[in-house]
Amino acid sequence: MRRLAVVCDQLSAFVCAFLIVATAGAVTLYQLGIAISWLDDLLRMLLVWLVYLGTVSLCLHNDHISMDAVYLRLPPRARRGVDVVVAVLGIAMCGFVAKIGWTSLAQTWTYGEKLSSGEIPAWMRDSVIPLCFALMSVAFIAHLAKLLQHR
Amino acid sequence: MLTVITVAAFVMLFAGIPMWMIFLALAIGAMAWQGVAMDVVVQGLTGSIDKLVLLAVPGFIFAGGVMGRGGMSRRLVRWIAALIGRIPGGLPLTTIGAAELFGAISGSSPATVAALGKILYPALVDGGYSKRFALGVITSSGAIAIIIPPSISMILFAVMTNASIGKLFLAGFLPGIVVGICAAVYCVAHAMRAGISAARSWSAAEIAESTKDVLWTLGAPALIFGGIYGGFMTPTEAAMAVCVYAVFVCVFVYRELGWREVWAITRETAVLSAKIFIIVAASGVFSWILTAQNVPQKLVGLVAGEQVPPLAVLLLINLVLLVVGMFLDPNSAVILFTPLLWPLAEHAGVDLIHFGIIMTVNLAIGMFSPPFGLNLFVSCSIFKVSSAEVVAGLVPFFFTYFAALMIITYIPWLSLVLPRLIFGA
Repeated sequence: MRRLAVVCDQLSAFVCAFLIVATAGAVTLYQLGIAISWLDDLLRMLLVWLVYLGTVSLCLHNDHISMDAVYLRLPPRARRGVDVVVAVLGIAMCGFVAKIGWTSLAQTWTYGEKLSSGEIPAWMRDSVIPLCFALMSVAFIAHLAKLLQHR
Repeated sequence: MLTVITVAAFVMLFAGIPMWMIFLALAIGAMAWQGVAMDVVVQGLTGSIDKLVLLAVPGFIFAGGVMGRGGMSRRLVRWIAALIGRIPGGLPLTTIGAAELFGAISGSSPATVAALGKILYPALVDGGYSKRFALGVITSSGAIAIIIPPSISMILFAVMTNASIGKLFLAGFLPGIVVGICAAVYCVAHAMRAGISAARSWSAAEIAESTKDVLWTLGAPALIFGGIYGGFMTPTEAAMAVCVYAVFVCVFVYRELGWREVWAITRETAVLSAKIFIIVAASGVFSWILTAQNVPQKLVGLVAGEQVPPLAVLLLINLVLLVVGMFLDPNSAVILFTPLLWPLAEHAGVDLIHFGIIMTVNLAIGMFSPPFGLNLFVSCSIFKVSSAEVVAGLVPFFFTYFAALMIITYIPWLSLVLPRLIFGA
């Protein structure tokens, strides 16, 4: 799991770096009056990948934005109970989204759908949902296993 | 169904379940209940973040990180101290002025507290100010960064309401200055009452030297605002241009940042962007419930039925947002409450841009409001003090910021004059 966390961290950082460099390059091209039709599609697709790869990292590190005002004041036992609920909810929900994402991806693939410029296949963007939500589900399983181990 | 969703949302929120999971779980549950095709979930998860304008957010986060660690904040503080250090209350005024300028580069409130606090806290204490006052002025000044553009909260507000980011950025300038002036008046009064004399005398040589040293740093806000309002760049393009500029200045000109640190900042940017955008994506799916259940229309109907005067609606919105700001970070609050509160404000005749600024100022105050303002925790961790000490120092600043909020709320001209001047009515 630790290795997966490192891979996801590095991969999302790489996508972020690529996104910044590519957007800066796109700005330069626009300023020079050069228009590439698929560039906007590529940048938006990279942003979607950045978000979901980053979220896999967040799940692996259990580092989310939440309102922990009450949670932090709970006794350790109740806090662990909440953690278990979050992990179970995460496994079920992410697994479900991965499944419906897979169905949606299969449709996109079958119909050969493309992003708005008509140059980039839509499956390149849409595959992020089943892949990353499956990984998030795995992260929550690992988290649950750890919680139950330390019971 | 709406009652069940509201109760479930509050229970999950207070239990500390991650925000994005609450949005997504409730949306999926409601859709399953109503037998809606689940394709909507997948479309919402990609469609709500598949927007070019959102690219500005990682851009400004990255640029702020590079500038904070690459020596730009230190140069800003030195320059402002050289300019206004002679005035009574010069050091706290330097803190406020530096926050205004750093906010014009970074847009992140905790980053501003961290970057400026390390430099100014020892100087304030050595200059005769109490620890409590020093903690108060530094922790509250960070909030200015959210109001002074570029602001991540404003970008998210623009995405939620289709408002013009250019107009919102422009509208934030005067309110940001008003907030700064209100805090500055209190700081000067405090310094005079405490009999603290100016820390230094004016030195033409120091002003000249620090001005020369800060020129590259001042190029960043010049690039952002010159690019956007000169008509050369969109806010997204300006964000990316300033990323390249910041790396160039900090790595090659100042030589205070190595590529290893740039990579570390990139990793932090990726994580922070994911934290913000996964909430945007999940709320995009959740907004389906609000639309399907006509929640905003019902709220407007409630207020219209009670014949609440517009001024009272604005006060009510302010109170709701102040309380929300105490518990939620500004970005989550913007995403969650904009669709609910904007129809109310619109019904009361409030301009969209003005409402965006009111919301931003409220949530900026929330950044340092107890019990859970993020800047409180940043200060506690940087200065190794208890949250009670920080809160004690913040009490007078809470009143000065509230006074500024009332001025900004009830004088729309402050928010609207610049956008109208540049973009027309």
